[in-house]
Amino acid sequence: MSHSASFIVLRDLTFAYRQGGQDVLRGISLEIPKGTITAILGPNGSGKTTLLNLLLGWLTPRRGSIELAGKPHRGYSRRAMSRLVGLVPQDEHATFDLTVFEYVLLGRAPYLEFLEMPRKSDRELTSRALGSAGLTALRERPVSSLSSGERQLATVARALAQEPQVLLLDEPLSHLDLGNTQRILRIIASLKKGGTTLIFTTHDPNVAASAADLVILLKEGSLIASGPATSVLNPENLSLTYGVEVEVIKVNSRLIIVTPEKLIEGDADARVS
Amino acid sequence: MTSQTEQKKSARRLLWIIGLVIICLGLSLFLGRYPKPYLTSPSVLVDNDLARNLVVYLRLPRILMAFLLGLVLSASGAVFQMLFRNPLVDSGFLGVSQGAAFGAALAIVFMGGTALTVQTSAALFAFAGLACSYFLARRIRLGGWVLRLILAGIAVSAIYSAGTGALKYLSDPQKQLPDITFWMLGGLWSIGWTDVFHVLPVVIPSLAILFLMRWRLNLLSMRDETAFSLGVAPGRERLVLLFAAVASTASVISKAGQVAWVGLIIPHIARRVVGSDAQKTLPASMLLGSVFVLLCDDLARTALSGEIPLGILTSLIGAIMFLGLLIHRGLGARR
Repeated sequence: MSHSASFIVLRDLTFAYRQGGQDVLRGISLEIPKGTITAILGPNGSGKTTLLNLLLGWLTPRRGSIELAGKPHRGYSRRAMSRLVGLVPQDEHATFDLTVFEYVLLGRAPYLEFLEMPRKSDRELTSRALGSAGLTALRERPVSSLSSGERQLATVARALAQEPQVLLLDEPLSHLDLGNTQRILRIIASLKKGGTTLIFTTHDPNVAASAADLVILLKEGSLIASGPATSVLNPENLSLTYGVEVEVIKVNSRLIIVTPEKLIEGDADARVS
Repeated sequence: MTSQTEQKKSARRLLWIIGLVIICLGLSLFLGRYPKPYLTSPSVLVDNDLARNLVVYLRLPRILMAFLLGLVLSASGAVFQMLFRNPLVDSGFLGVSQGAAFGAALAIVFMGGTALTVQTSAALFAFAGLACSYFLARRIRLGGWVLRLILAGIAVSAIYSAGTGALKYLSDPQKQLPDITFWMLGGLWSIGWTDVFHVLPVVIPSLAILFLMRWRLNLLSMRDETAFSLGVAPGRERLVLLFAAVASTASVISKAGQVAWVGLIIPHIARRVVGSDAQKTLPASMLLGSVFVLLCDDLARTALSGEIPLGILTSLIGAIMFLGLLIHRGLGARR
């Protein structure tokens, strides 16, 4: 990665939730070019969500710096930041029953003055975002009545209405069925085509292998490896990250990650009678 | 576009509610026990000087105070429910109600119990309740910000009620104890024009803040990270809204005493009528709250020859409506 192409630059990023507490992230340095898809991969508790919250600016690093579009994080006002970076949080639920339309409309907040109500143009953009997410038919339904997959799509639609240059997604594909997984991946791909830089977390190396250009491997807050998916996702790195034996198979130029050890004996050829 | 028709539907419903408010205000003006029980005919006001003075100097300020009380309690209730992402809280939460009761009791027992000292002391201790809850919450090492505020509020309320209990025990059972009890029951029988003018400088700016920030309430009812990612300063904006809600509540309950259940029940009804988008829920809550308190106060002053404490009526009717909502369709909110 050449430095000039880097849109997001992390230098020696270190974070702890409490003063004097244990570091959750240690000395993370990396660069992410514009218009790429990056997967943050690692076992549970490795610091993936913390890294997203640091990129969002919600958490402040204890040491080190984050640069966005050539400017340090601190150089942005909160509003400017919210136009630049959007978030699709993990299983968000609203306490009160906003309709899908009202919920997605919240994504326009970064473009409104402090006491301004959403304008007609905001409503039109919201309708368009609902269309892109395939939710037009559900627009008047309460968010709480949606299935988990539809709710995830609604949160993605809100991020579409927000039109950020960088979109952070926390475990966007967990708990989704095959159809909704494909829908979200298609939206991610079209955002990338439009020049958006996407960063998502996952604990599934196969998701990273199938969707990401770049992969960041984290373990216990330290960077194991970062770079193009094809070179980072090798058996050595993955075994080091997850602490189990891992095999990487290439099928039709796609990487598939498996654990070779068979733990439960079963007959693969068994037929259902 | 469906959302436009939905919007029009909500706007029409809001207009209906405004009509209802005007009817209730008019009705209340002609309801009373003088010169005859129940409805006063307008011709009497022309002929009878005493009746006219009574309406202008006693009934009108009382009606306006009932109107303000309803606006404030239900606006604050709606704001508290959204800020705390909890459909079961109102502005009496966080030690505010118990603080006001303690302040009133303290003034009755140790400061002579004049209207001015009772009101000032009630308002001061209501605010002290909020301040204590806030600073305690910052020191609690358990759970998220909302849970910490709730826990701190429970503790502060309990300490205040213990204090109120002690004051009742110390009070003169012939003179002071009935005063404390009556204040805690809530009522508007002593309200005059001065009282209305006392609360307006606090109530108008506070309600203006709540009303103008109403769409942002939707954002603030999201998780902190989400609100932040949408350009909101969750901590600072919540504090502004909390302060406005508590300031207006403290000022009206210092005049009216404890009037429970309005802030809890009315926002739920408003959500039923116009939906959960705070841009519509908040104005609907305010107006429906004023209708509810006006009607309860009409009952309080006309149903019997003696005054029925307003707080008893709002609690009784509010709790019955609450049960009705729960049995009918749930609260329209998810935890």
